[in-house]
Amino acid sequence: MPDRTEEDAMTYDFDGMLQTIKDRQWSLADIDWDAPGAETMTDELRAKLQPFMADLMWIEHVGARGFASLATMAPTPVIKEIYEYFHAEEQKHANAELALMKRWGMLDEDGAVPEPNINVKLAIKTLDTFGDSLPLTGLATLIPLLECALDGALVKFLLDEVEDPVCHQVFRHINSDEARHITVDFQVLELIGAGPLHKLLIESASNLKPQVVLGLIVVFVPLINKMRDNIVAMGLPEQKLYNAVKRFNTIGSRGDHTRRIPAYHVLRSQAAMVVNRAHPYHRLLADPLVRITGLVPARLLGRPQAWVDEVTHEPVAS
Amino acid sequence: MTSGFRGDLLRDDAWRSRGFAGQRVAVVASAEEAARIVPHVVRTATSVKVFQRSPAWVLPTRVPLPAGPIRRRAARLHLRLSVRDQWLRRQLTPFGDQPGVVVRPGFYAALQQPGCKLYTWPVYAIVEHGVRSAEGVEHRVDVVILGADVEVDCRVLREERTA
Repeated sequence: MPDRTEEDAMTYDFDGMLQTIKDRQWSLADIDWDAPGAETMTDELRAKLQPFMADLMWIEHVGARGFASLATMAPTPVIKEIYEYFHAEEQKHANAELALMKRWGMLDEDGAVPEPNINVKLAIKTLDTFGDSLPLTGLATLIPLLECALDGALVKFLLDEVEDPVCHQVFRHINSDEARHITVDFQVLELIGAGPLHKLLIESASNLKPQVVLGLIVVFVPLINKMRDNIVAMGLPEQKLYNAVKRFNTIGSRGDHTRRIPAYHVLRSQAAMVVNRAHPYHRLLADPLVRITGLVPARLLGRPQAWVDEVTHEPVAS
Repeated sequence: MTSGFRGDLLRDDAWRSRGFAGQRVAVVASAEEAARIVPHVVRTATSVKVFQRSPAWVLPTRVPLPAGPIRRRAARLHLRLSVRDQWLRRQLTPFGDQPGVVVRPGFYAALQQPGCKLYTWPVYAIVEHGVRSAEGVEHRVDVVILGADVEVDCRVLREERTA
């Protein structure tokens, strides 16, 4: 196959995708949250899934904040508008997952949002502090990796475990949104990767600012590892994690330009270490960081910005 | 799914000539446009939800500063001094190259009134009882005001087009 040129990478129909995104919008108000099926959630499954759902909901909510940052640095106005939709859609996924938690009796009587764990709180703090100044290539690569993991491993696991038809209906919507997110994420990587090499290298060098490197390691390494170990302990076959990362590699290597982005290679290697529990990465870095961050008093982090309070399980607001 | 919005849908300058006592209002507009509408509406409405399409640099009054970076810096300072909440401030901050600064008195104060809330979610449909935005929530309102510069792609208008 001949190499595609920068011009080819520019020809992806982002306008068409934006229109599709607008046409495919759905609302929590479209779902009958009182429909039969909630009774299929057993006490045992409820207890097992509650922390998983809380983590999933928070990761979507934090992912939404990531898209808000991406929107500020989008390479074109159309991609900016797409990211604005994705920001809202990730929030919608968090809202829908919270609504499922409510349906399954996983929230307290007031329907209060579950407290995020310390690693999620650290991620929130990092995004609030550095999110809008992180280099585009780093963030634009990190987000599809998380989406491949969410979509390919966590959500599939949930659907295997839960019979409730409302859950399946909700995740049909979420999965079709996520498929569009992953398509756009990789097309944007192609577009960035097709840019001048010196620009990529300069951006990558700014990725190496000590606060960025430290922030990413201290925050995201334990966040991902804790979630990884929790779901494997709950019964997720490790093969599914391998498959999710494989998908990130497969889609990334399909394009001609993505591989020119240094952040793509860094995150790809990290992901490969995350899924392989025997790798020294866990013993030497990730496990100690999970323990250390577990000791951080949350009050040291201060009050997060107001976006964290925007998540809601109510389909209708007056 | 919908037979159209049951409340009042106002376009252009229709909002100027009326009060909104006892009504819940949604304003869907760019900041430039919303900054004109919201201070007026917030005086009488029960609640106002502002769905801002795109932010703008705003100054409360004309200042003798040259257009360009200096005026933008003054607008940034005005935002910093007027809005304490960091996230609200971020929602109101234009990123990238912004052509100019608009003069609109009272916008930031109006947004911080009790009962007024700013959203940056895209609105994708106007339905029977209100507006639906892309974060998945239906916002029930009695009046929808659409900014003149907003290109709306919403169900009620789509039906009109195909009728």
